Amino acid sequence: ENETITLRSSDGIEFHIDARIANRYTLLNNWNGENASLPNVTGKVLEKVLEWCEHHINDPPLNYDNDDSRRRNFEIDDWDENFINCVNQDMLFEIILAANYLDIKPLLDIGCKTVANMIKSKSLEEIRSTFNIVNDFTPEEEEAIRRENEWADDQ
Amino acid sequence: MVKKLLNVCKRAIKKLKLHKRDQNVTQERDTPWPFWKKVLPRRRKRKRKARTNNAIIQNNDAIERDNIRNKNPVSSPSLPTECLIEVFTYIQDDLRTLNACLLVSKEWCNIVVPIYWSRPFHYKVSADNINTYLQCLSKHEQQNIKACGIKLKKNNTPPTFQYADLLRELNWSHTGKWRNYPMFTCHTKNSSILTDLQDLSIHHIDKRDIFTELSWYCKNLKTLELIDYTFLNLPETRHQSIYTLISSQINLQRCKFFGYGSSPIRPMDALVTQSKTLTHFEL
Repeated sequence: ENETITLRSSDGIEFHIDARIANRYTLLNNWNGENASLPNVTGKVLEKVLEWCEHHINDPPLNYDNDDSRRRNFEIDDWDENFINCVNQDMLFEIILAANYLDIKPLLDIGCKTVANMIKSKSLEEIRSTFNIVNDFTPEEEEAIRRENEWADDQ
Repeated sequence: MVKKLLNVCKRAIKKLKLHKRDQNVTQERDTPWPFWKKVLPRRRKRKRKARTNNAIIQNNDAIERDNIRNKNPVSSPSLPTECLIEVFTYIQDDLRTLNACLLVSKEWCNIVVPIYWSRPFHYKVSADNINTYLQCLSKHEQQNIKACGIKLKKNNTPPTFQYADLLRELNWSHTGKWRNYPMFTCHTKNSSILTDLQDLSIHHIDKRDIFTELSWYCKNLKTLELIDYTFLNLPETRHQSIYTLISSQINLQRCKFFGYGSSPIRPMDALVTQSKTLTHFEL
């Protein structure tokens, strides 16, 4: 009885989803139509995103008036934790990018919280290797930043 | 400054040459200025004009990232700055983690520095913060401070960021340690220091009139709290200067007076000027 709509990923895979999912998220809703193809999201990623959306279809309506209270809450519920733990780091980043692009805030929050948890209590070198980031400071620049930010040194 | 910019450009071009990038860039190595300009628009816009070498960090950053991309065309995805900012909102109170993030890369540094320096005294009151602020003053201003008998750390290079411009939240309740620092006295009225300050809480400073000075700089306050005052004992001029501070605000939304004795009549008069934006008042 529920209306379905079709979304097409950037690599041409079609997904038939409950229209109520699209209705929850403005951007998904905007793609509801003849040419519902998402140019920036691949099928693999869209599948995960839609899996998440489907599970949360009956969540209470979103209220994003109070940004701070949303951020103070570090908890991720069990299903979401399981969902996010089952993906590898590349997929996690892809999901964050897609959630950001499609403006699915709760999923973006879960992704960002997970990344924040990955950063927490890690050392500088551990962070660099976890995220595959190259140190692009010259020694002089690094020294200047250290000197100007001595708050960082007395931990 | 210009010399420094030229040096940075030369260094950047050298790097590009190493990676054998397109020839027209290397041809410009004798005239680095146009190249520099060419790189600039690629960066996201800054709200305030960068007066120090903030821009240098960002430009090198852009070049480096291009180099990395060229080396690994199929690299793993990385998060864009807007998502990283989102991630850092969850660790902004965790100083230990924040400090590990500071030196990860230039991109991370450009995100972490504004987070910390938007409310540096939220974490602790430290002389290190003040020293960094003092380094952001102009040579002339530093000279004035030295003339007052205050020793400054020697530092020949300009600061990497204009740290004072990043301040958004200032709570005067635990500032006893630096109460005697000449925060304002050496600044000219045109200075941009504190212009973006949004939340200001002042606890019982009545030895000197800081309100008039504040009214020169802070015009964008959203929240103003005056706490622990005996308004009855304040001289009439102080009431007037609180009035001036309030009435010079453009977007004041919340105001709180907490004190003893009678109500501050004159300062409360100033609230009329904020009637368009004020949503909360507490006495």
